[in-house]
Amino acid sequence: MISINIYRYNPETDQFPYMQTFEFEKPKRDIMVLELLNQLKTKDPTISYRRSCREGVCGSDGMNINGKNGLACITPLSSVIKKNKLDLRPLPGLPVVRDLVVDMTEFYAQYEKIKPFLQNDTPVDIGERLQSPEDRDKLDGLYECILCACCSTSCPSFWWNPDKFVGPAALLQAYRFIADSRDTKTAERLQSLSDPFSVYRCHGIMNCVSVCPKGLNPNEAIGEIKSMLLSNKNKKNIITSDKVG
Amino acid sequence: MVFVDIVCHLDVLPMIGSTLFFAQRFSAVFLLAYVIWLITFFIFNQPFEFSTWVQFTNQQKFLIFTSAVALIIPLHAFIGLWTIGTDYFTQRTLGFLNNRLSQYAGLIRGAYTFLFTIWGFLIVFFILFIIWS
Amino acid sequence: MSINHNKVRPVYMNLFQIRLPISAISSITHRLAGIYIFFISLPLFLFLLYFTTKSYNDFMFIQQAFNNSIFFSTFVSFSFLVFAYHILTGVRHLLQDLHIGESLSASRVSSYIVFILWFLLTLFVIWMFYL
Repeated sequence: MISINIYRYNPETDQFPYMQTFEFEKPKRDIMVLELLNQLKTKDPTISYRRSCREGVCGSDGMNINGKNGLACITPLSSVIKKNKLDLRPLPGLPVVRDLVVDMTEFYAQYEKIKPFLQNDTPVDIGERLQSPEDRDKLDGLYECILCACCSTSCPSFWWNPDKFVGPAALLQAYRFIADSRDTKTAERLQSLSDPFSVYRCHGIMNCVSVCPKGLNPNEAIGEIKSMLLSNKNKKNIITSDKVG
Repeated sequence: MVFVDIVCHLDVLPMIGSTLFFAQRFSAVFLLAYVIWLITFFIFNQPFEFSTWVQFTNQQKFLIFTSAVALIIPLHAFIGLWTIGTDYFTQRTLGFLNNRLSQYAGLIRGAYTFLFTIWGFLIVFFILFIIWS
Repeated sequence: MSINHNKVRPVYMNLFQIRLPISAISSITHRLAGIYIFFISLPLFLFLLYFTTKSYNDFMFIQQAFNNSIFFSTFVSFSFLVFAYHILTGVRHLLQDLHIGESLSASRVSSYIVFILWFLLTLFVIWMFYL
């Protein structure tokens, strides 16, 4: 028998959140935590959680599983269960809407802030902007982010200042566009990140890298941004539309 | 009261991120060089004796280097301490601890900033006083 | 029953339950060490500098205090060790700024190396002053 503790909170009926324990028969084969939640929901239909693709590509079911953030649908029970106990809690730091569902507004706001779209005002001759395979390789490890928020909600700097510090997820995407050879607004992107809070609250804690379900390294991307900001500072920062760095 | 108000809003001064970042790293390396220099003295002057120690601390090199260190310490420390203030002594973070406490976040951060600034100036003063007298 | 829009949403933030990997421990202890240095170690070192250079009698007094008082020698040694810890973790940070040891595995290894070096230094200090 395994005991599953789930964080419960219903704003309509509860004043404070609480933990609810379910005793469950240990599954004969190894299942994913999401499958376990689905089975629990047949016992108690009021348990709320987000889920969609069930294969680790949509990023809906990010939650704190036995202390570590992860996607429930690709986390095997065997890899997280400890002494037949499983604790399921919402992603830390974000307001809880209900049970395991969190309000992602602050997270998305930071993503919007870094302008996550290609900026290129030059005319296109042949209908598409060409990019060499070498330049395309530079986007590997950056474009795969599914915005599940596991990284940012595991980052203490993001916990303390989610409105000022952009966070690992959005910074990874910021670098994805800075590194894109087809983007021409690099100087402006770096300029908008040059204040003491947006990037520089990253102290290399590296919780982000350890929890990313896609194996990405936001810390490395942030390091690249910091280097580019420093070299920009030395070049007496002049905003042009030319590619810098 | 005006001073308290200024101090509560130090975090919105238009300081440039990369300048602070570089200043903290530069001062760290400078202080590290100083510490290594001191440690090499201690390694090559065993046992620790009054005469050699006074000779070392009276030399021109020591006075100049330590005076520079006295000014570099607050540069390194203040950046870190300000970061701590804007991490923990905010409405949001204190709110995790206690809701009533979070209402006084600005005041607490201001008091903390005042405290470490005064302490920093005292340290600079005493370093310079001790080595030059 | 309608939803109470005035209610503030709770936030999960129990630091005792959230798993903190070794790199995070390294980072927070670096910060705590920095605070200790600024408020305790630095004044102590200034105190020692002042009295060890003031006169021969004062120098001997400090040396006697160190040899005779377990409290004093422990306090000084501990303050020095915290100072050394901040330096070791600081160097690790500086290397990461130079893009050395940024991968997850390298970060874990460097954290352990720093802990081991600091532990060895602690043993050395204990051996030097107490044995």
